[in-house]
Amino acid sequence: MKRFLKPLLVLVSTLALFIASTSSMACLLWSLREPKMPESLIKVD
Amino acid sequence: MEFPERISARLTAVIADNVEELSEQKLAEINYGIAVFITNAYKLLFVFILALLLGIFNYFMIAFMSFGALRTFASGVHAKGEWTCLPLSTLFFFGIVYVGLAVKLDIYMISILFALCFAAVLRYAPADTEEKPIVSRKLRRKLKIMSCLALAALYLVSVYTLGTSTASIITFAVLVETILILPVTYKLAGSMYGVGININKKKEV
Repeated sequence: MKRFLKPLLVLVSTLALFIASTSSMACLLWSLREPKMPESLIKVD
Repeated sequence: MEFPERISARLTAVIADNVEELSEQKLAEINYGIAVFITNAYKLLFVFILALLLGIFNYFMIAFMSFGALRTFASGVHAKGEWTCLPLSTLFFFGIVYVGLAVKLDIYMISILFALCFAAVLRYAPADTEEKPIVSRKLRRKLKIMSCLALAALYLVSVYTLGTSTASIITFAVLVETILILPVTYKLAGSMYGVGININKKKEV
């Protein structure tokens, strides 16, 4: 079980990071509520 | 804390325990990504199934894609709580479809509504929120240009499909999304408009 758990969690993390970085640039998914974005994702000039 | 954030916090804790070399910052980003996914996924599933059951899936997809094409770049006000968001999303999407099916707009009405929407987008997009401020001027400019281009593309499609329900549905979807970027809507929803602009101004002082 543990053998599969780690790759699965790495995959989930990668997908989550992709969603987080894309949704910091634009309103990626179109529903009407959004969780609070971490400060590290706020783009500054 | 709403339930998507609770689930994402638990899942992030499991990830932190099992995957090494992840900084606090990366874990916060993973937590956010999971929360965004959960927040959207179950609502989208609900409205998609409802559209199928009501037999209006094609019209719903037109409304959804048109609304989303503009919202991706123009953003707009968001509901404060999880349980106000789902009824509001459902009301907006199905309202757009049924009004679009009932009311056929002519070229003049479509052009007038799009002109008003264009003026509002030019003035107020991108409309950020306290949860996700858009601070970067470059990003704001880019999103404003993209919003205008999306609006122009939607206008062309609605003119091309003139005389059909598609044209009306696209126009109403654009109208609803434009209303969601207006400062007055933010006031009514109890949200703050222009958080990113204010952060930028404070930095300059």
